[in-house]
Amino acid sequence: MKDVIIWAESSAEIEDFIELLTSESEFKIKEVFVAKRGVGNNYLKGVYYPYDLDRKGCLEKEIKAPNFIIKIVQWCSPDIIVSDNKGVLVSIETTYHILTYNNIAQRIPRQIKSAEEGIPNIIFQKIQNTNKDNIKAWFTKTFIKSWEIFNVPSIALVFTEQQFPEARKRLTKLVNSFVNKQYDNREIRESKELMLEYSSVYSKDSVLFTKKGMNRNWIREYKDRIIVIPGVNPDGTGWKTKGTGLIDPYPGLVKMSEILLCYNDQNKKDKKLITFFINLPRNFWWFVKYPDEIYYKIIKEFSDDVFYKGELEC
Amino acid sequence: MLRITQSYVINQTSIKLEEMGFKVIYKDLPHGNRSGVGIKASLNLMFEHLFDKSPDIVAISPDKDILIVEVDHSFKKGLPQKFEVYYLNRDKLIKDISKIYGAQLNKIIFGFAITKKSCPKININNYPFYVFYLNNNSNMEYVVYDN
Repeated sequence: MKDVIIWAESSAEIEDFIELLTSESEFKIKEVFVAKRGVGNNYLKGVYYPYDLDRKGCLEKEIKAPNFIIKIVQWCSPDIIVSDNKGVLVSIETTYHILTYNNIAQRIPRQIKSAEEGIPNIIFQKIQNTNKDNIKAWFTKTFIKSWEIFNVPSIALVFTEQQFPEARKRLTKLVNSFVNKQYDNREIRESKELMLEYSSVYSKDSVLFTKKGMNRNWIREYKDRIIVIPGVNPDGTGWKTKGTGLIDPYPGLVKMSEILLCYNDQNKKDKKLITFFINLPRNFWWFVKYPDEIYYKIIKEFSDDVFYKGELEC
Repeated sequence: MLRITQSYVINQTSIKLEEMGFKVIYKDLPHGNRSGVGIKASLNLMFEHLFDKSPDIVAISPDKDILIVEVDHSFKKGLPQKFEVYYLNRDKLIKDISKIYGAQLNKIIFGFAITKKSCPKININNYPFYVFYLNNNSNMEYVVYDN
């Protein structure tokens, strides 16, 4: 049985993960470190805290994570990163919030970051039902495209409440595969087939246009570029009360749009990605005060160019 | 040395409750998944719907009572009111949690777990109230004071 190290986003995530694994897991957790121990964290710079699995608590001391961990948490920490001493084996995101139009892209960047670094990744995502619809199609298609672009398994393991016991077993087997560096076996192929099934109803037009054929408010396609238009307004108490302002849904939307629409059939990027804050001026106080806030920073990193209120017409 | 965080207190209180014969059916750990599947998902949905927030721990006693535990650094202003809101809605809570749990449950009881090594003075007399606090020993275990 292989020894692994877990880098969890929080103690809740490691406890959930251990509960989630079935008896079929083929690895032994040797050490655990967590990124978020209480108020404030500095995992982007590699600060992690040892976690005592027996006593279910973090230790006072802090450690510096290796560079291979720091690299893949830069677009937010996945819930679970499994590594050995040499590198990352798999990154995992688990979410039980039902996939909806509002949260579809929220967790996409952190998984795509792993893919970009050549790390297999799994998102364990609860869904309301097994109907094929746009939401599930966009979601699964994003990970299929990611798999093709970065040539490493990017798995969206979606499940309903009723499918949870089976999905849990599948998750354990997938983690076993990646821990043992198997990137092509029956479990992985079946997972891809399931994603292909949900994405079979995908069409580019469904992202760009509403059912009535109108442009969606948040996206435009041109010959050489895709423009993502965060509709966020300067009003709203969230700019003052939330650490991330009101930016948090948008990095995911920007990254999802890039993966779905900026790459051609040969998986080469052939369109630029532009972000246009249509309602926020360049000197909006929050942008000036927090230029390096993580969600704002990664939107700038994802985009070939960023425009602000009054700087673009579309 | 262990750091006493909200998560640690919730975990240790849950362990203590299990030792006392309770069945912990819901834990709300910071930075964790509030929802889930099965009983956890249903309880989360019910509490969010009724109160727009969830308690830190929900457990079922051996006598089939519902224990609701809140965790904090001190028994500060606002906490008695929080319990009061649950108490005022006790009939609805008993009915809904019984349905989710799949057994007829009897009454609501309360608990408070504190991150400190001493038991705070708490003036709540109208229902059984457990207080969990850190035992002053090297094992950093939680103990219970039952008033």
